[in-house]
Formats: sequence, C-alpha cells, structure tokens
Amino acid sequence: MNTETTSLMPPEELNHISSLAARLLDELDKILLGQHEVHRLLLIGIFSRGHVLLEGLPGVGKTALVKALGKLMRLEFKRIQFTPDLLPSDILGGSILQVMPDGSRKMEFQPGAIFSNILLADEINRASPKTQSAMLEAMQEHAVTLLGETRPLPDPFFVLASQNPIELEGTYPIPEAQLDRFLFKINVSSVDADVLTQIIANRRRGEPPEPEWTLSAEELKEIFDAMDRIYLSESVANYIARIVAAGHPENPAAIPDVTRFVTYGPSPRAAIALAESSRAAALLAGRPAVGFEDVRSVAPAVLNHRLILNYQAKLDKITPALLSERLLEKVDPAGIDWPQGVNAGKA
Amino acid sequence: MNCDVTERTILNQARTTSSVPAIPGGALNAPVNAFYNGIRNRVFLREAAVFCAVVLFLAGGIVLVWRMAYPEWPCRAVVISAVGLAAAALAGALYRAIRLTPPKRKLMVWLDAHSECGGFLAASLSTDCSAWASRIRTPRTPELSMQFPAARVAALLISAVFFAAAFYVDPEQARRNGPGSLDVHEEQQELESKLEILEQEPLVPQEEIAAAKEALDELVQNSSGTTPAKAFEGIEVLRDLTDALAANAARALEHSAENFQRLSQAGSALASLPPDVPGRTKALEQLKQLAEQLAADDAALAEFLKQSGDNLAASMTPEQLQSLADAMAGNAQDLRERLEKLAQARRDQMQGGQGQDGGDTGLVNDSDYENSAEALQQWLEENAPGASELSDAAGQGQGNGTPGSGGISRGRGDALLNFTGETQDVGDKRRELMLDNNTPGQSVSILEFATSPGEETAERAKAGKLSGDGQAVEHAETRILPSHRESVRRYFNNSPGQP
Repeated sequence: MNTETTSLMPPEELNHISSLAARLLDELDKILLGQHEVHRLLLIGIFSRGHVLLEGLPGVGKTALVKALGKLMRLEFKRIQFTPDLLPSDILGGSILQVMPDGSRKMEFQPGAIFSNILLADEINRASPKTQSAMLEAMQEHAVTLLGETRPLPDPFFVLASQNPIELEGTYPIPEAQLDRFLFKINVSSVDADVLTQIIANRRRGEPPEPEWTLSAEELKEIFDAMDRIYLSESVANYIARIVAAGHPENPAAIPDVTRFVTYGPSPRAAIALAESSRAAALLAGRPAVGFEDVRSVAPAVLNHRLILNYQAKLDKITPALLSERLLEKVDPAGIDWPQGVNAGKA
Repeated sequence: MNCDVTERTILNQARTTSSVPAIPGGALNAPVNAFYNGIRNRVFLREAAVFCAVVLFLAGGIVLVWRMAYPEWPCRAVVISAVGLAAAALAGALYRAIRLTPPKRKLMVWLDAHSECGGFLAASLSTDCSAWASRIRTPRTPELSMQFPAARVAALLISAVFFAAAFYVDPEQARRNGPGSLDVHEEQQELESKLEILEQEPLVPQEEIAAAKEALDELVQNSSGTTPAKAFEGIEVLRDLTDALAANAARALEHSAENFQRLSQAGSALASLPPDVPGRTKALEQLKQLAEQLAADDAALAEFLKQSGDNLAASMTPEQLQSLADAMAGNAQDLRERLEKLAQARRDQMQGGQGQDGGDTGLVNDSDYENSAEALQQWLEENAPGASELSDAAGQGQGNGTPGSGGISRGRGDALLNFTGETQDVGDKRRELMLDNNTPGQSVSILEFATSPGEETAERAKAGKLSGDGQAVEHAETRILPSHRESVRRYFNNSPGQP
C-alpha cells in the first residue's frame, strides 16, 4: 500500500525520471559487458537505498562494476580489502593525537573509508566478526559513533560488499542476522564467450571505457523522490506479504518445499526490501505502479540470502534461488481460492 | 550473474511490459466479466449436478410416496412440484456458484498478474489511473478448464434413473406388499369370479349382486387400515352372501331341473302308450295339472309352459307328447348346465348344507301335488307297467323318512342324524371326490356302495327312477347329486385310469 501516493505520477514526469534511470543502466551496460541483469539489480538496489552483497569468483568484474557506478553517479567511491587483521577503526576511522602548528596537541578525528558514498567492501567474509559487525552496524544506522560522538555518514551511502564462494578456509562467514541488512545478494557469474570476445577485442587490457554520460546529484535526488511516488497497490502489497509468509516453515501458508528445506524464513525486513525494490523496478520499467512482474523480478535477489536452509536442503542440493522460484510458482498473485475443479489457463 | 534462467525470463517479460500497445481503459470490463462469467458458469454446472442429484432423489421419493398414497395420483401436481424443485435446485446451484466464484476484484488482480499489465489493473482498484489509460493493456481472457468429478456424474445418473424408475413402480403391487396394507387380492378375485358367475344366472337378483360388488370394492379400498380383522370379517360376510346367493340359485335350478325331469319322464311314459289307451285323456289332464302345480313355484317351468301355450292338452298325439317331453328334458339339461356353473360359487354351501336341502323343499303345495301324482301313478301302473316310479320320483320332494330312499341329495329334514358317513340300512359310504388335481372346492360328494355295481340287483337299481331295469352304473348316477352328475361323468371319461 501506498500512504503517501493517492494518484499515479503523471506520465510526462515519470518518463523523464525513468529515462534517466534507463540511461544510467545503458551506460553501465556499455562499461561492463554481459552483465545487464546484475546492473539492473544493482541500480534497483541503489534506487532503493539498499546495500548489495555481490558474490562471485575473482575477476568477474565486481570491483570494476562498483568503480563504474561511482563514476557514473559522480559519487565518492572507496574500497576496503577485508583481511583477518582488519580492525573496526580501519573502517570507521578514529581520533589521532595531532600536533597543531602552535605546538599544542589535539585529538582529531580521522574518518575511515566508510565515510564515502559508495563503499566497496571487498571479500567482506575475510574480516573478523568484530570488524564485520562494526561496518554492518554503520550500514544500518547510516552513522558512526566513536567516543560518544555520532557522526552521520554521507548521503547517499551504499555498501557494495563482495565475497568469494571459494577458498573459505580462514574466513568468517557473515551471520544471517547481519546478512539480512543487505537488500540484495546478487550472484555475479562469468560472462559467455561472445562477451569475452568483445572484451578482448575492444578493450586494451580489459580496461573499461570512460562513461560518456554521468548522473548528477540533482538527478539522483529526483530519482529518489520519484521512488516515493511509485504506487504500490494493496493487491501487490498483499502478494509480497504472502510470498514472505509462505517462506516461513512454521507458517500455515508455507509451501511444502519450504516446510521441508527451510530452517528460518525471511524476516519482515525482507518484505520491506521486496516492496522497495519492486518500486525501483517499476520506476526502471517506466511504470507509475508496482506490478506483479516487478515483485517477481526482484524476489530471488531479495530472498536469496534470507532463506536459511537446513542440512536436508544441502544434501538434496536445494538452493535458495530454487526455493525462491518455487515460492513464486506456488503463491498465487491474486490469492484466489479457486473453486474445486476449475482451472484457469494462461491469459 | 546467476539469478537463474527463470528469473531472467521473468525479468525479460517485465521489460517488455512497458512497451505494450495502448488501449482504451473502458475495455477492461469485458475480459474481466468474461472471466468471471466463465468461472461462475463452470462452477454452476458442477454444483447443479449435485443439487439436481439431490432433487431427483427427493422427487423420485415424492413420486413413489405419492403414487402409493394416491393410486389416481395427480400428474399435474407432481409435474408442478418437480418443476418447482428443479427451479429450486438451479437457484441453489446458482447461489453456490456465485458464492464460490472469486470476486471480480480478485479476478482483475489475477488478470493483471498473468497478463503482465504492469500493475495498472490492480492499481485501478484503489486509485485513479485515468492519466495512464492509454498505456493500460487489455488482458486476454484465459482459457478455463473444468474437471467434472466422476462421482458427481454417477450420482446424477443414479438419481435420474431412480426418478424415472419411480414412475414405473406399480402402486397397487407396492401397496399390497407394503407393511401397512392387507393383502386381500386373492379373496377379492375369488369373490369377483363368484359374482361374475352369479351375474350370468338370471335367477339371481341382479340388485343383490350389484350391492355385493359395491361392498367388495369398498372393502378392498379400506383393506389398508389398521384393523385387518374387520377386512377379513367383511370378506367372510361377502363370501357367505355370495354362497347364499349361489345356494339359492342352485336350489331353484335344481328344483326346476327335477320338475322338468319328472314331467319329461311322465310325458315320455305317456307317449310310449298307444293313443287309444283308455284314460289317456284323463292322464294327460292330470299331467297338465301336475305341471301347473309344479310351475306355481317354479319360474323356469312357468316360463316354459307359458311359451308352449296349449300344447299340453288332452288331444296331444304321442309324437307331440314325446316332443314336449324331449323339450322338457332338454330344458332340464340346460338347467343342469347352469347349475354346474354355479357349482363353484356355491360349493361351500353345497357341502355344508346338504342335510338342510333334503326333504321338503317347501316350494310345492303338497296336497295338490300328492293328489295329482297319485292319480297319475295309479293310472300308469294300470296301463304302463314298469313306469310306476313316478311315485318315487314325486316322493323325492317329500321323502319317506329313510335317508337315501328319496334321492341322493334329498334326505328328509326329520331323518336321524349320524356322522359316520354311512346310511343306516345299506352301509353306503359318502366321500369327497376331487374333480381336478387337489383344488379345494372342486369336489363333489358321491356314495360308495357297500357292494360292487355289478352285483346291484334290479330292485335296487330301480330306486329313484321312474322306469326300472336300470344298470348299477345308472343307479350310481342317480345317487350322485344331480348338479354334479355331468362333472363326475366328464371326470371319469377324461381320466380312464382313475377309479
């Protein structure tokens, strides 16, 4: 439901904003080849003001993606390579005793890498839980509190974290509770041969080209403002709620696969994330109202890290993506109790 | 990227949604209504099968009960009731279909989700989408399928067969077999057959037969009451009534037959004499007087004499007299045949009332009859030896105090009663002779002589006959009830191996 919006955005206004978003997506596609859906989901995450966890093998373009996004949006970009000996102060910053020109000494705050618009937390699972927790807390609060003083983070603030699914020895997997703070978990896969051919043939040492167009801060603010005016109907909100409810094994509405393979279902934060990201998807598609297809397009990325599977699922090689797909298959968008024996085919 | 192929497909579909052709917003109602009506109609069919099955069972039961309760069942009322029930069933099915069919709001949401309408249909339920009307895509009505459960089809077929079968049940048979009804069918048929036989007999008063039939119909209609004993009592009364009617008719026929027989025998005896025998004229006068006396209480004889006019006159030639005697004998034979028809109807009365029937019939003026008969007998003894049995024949109506001497069926009313089945002097035995195979009521009483028929003396054989020299067999025939002689003769003739 939409409490702020009572009518749909005018077509002209929405067309202008959606064209900005589409242009941004197109530019991103030009810089990094063959990753359109990752780009789309990443932009949806940005428009939703959410943090995104990218999971993929080394060298698939995670860092390049974040760099390109920073350039396109003219946002301050920083990168932290997480290691086991990384301390929270390395991320958040700290007060350092400085000698002033007059010879006096003063504790002066030196902001950490987190004070940026876009932070790439590379291989976040290699840092200690203490460091992970410090950063994840700042992600949630959009502020850093040191020595009793709270310092807000720049606006906008996005964390694009990455983690490697291999070489897990000596890593600290992010707890589920902290994973929940990421809006999306996107699996970044390798591109196919055609895309590789284009990369090799057209790009010297694989370096991406400079963007031909960038998004200004004002335009980004317009997009954020438009996000608040995307209409979420009660039916779609109910659809989102039923998807999340069906993902809980103890819920009566849970589908059989969830009951069998899921230990913990998605939190209410997942429903909020699903609604927000659906709005962004509708905006990117140029529509003033969230459609059911918008929900279906973002649901796998939202639920990917929020469905905690049991050992039975691991033995049966059931993945969260597969369960998300089954959830979308089983949950009827309209919530209709069909009369017995009546089946509606494809419209 | 690894968001799965399915996800990519969904995403691609979502991307194409934005480029759907623009359509007028007013066209949304048509597919939604078509979708709604399609579902409702299919649900209606499913529910109607159940409702119709129930109604057909009910209607079949009502038809059965109705037909059992009212043999002349009101077809129009049943048809109207059936139509009313069918209408109620269809209304119920429609009500259920409307209740079960999803509301149009949800169907619109469903169409939005499955036709990739971009959320416009869902949004239009709660907000103004007029600005985007040109971009709202008209959804296509989905194809609907319905699985019709075999159990419902079977229930519908069975109920339809039950309903149809209810019209073919014989209510009379069902009522007779019903727990609350009394089966008087056999008694009714028996009484009806008796009444039919009696109806054909002119001597039986037709108004009494009509009253008996009316009583029988009323009794059959009331036989399903709670007091079956009354029905059986009524049957017994009717049975006694028909038996009494049959007995009375049989007595009258028997009386007439014997009168005809006597007159025929006397006429034959007179005809056998030469015309110039002295006193013939007087004998003819006496014969005429005797016939008139007998006709006084014999309607059949009176009718015969009325039709024959003055034929019985003193101037009759022997041939004329023989012809008249033959006509009388023929009449006697006809009367016996009619009497035989009555045999079934009156059998119980006959068996139980032989003693009462014997002796004085009370139908003839005894003194006049005796005078005429004695005078005629005396003249015949003088002129026609061997024809002296007229007195014996005439005496059958009066008896002489000795059982059996007055005829096999006409013992005196003042004769001594014994229950040994034997006559006192000759030791003849009376026994039941079954006329056909073990059928009750198809029997006659005959006498078994103590001696064999071949050893019968001529004197014994003369008994009961106007002219003697009879054989033992003939004598046996005369000792059998006159009404049953033909039956006994036919029985023995048809069954030569039987004793």
